[in-house]
Amino acid sequence: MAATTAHPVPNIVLVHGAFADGLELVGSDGAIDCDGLSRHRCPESIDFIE
Amino acid sequence: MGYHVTAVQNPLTSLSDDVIATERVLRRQKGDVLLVGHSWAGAVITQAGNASNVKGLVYLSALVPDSGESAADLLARLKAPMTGLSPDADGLLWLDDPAQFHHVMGADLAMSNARFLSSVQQPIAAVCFAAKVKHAAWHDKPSWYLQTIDDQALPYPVQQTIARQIGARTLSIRSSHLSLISQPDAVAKFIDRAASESER
Repeated sequence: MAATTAHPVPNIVLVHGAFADGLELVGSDGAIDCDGLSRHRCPESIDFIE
Repeated sequence: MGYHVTAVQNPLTSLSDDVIATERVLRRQKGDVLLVGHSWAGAVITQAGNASNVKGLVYLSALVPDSGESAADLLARLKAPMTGLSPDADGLLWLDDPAQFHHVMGADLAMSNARFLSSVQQPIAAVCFAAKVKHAAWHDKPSWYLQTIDDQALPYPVQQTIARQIGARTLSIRSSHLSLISQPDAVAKFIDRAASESER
């Protein structure tokens, strides 16, 4: 769990809202990449579900 | 951008349960934290943000009660009732009609995406909205608020009022309630900006 950065505030903790499960935060279709807060698009996962 | 990022799997069963889940994750962090909450989770981080390692609060289209206030109190005070929710006999609120989900949460998303998100959603216990925040962390810590102009879940003017009342630094973007999905770049940049400004 060691921080991967030299930022003075190195950790981002995200809390999801209602009618969600966290996928919209670090997950499937364009949320925040848990490897470092960059854009993350993975449409394959949507295709898999459908 | 090089941050260590964690998403809390908060259960949406009560304000207290969500705060406890968030505090567990906060205790796992090595170093300072920027705490981010979307929508309902604005209430959660307003309470959990009192933890000593939290250096700033980022609200994304969020409900932000004051000390001694609940999310329901806030919505009543701002005359912004929630609509489109479907209660069940167990005290849970659902938004599980895909078309309604699309309209309320993410009209700027593809319908296929809205169906997916609707099908994996967690309902929220109605008691969440009645629980009062003990002490609102935004009184003591810097805050940022991302306002979403095309929001059908929490109207933009209501978000503006909330952001003004808590003294948050703001950004407005053209997005539905689910800006994390429709505009991930803008959201990531906003969080990065907050992290940078919280260092000062």
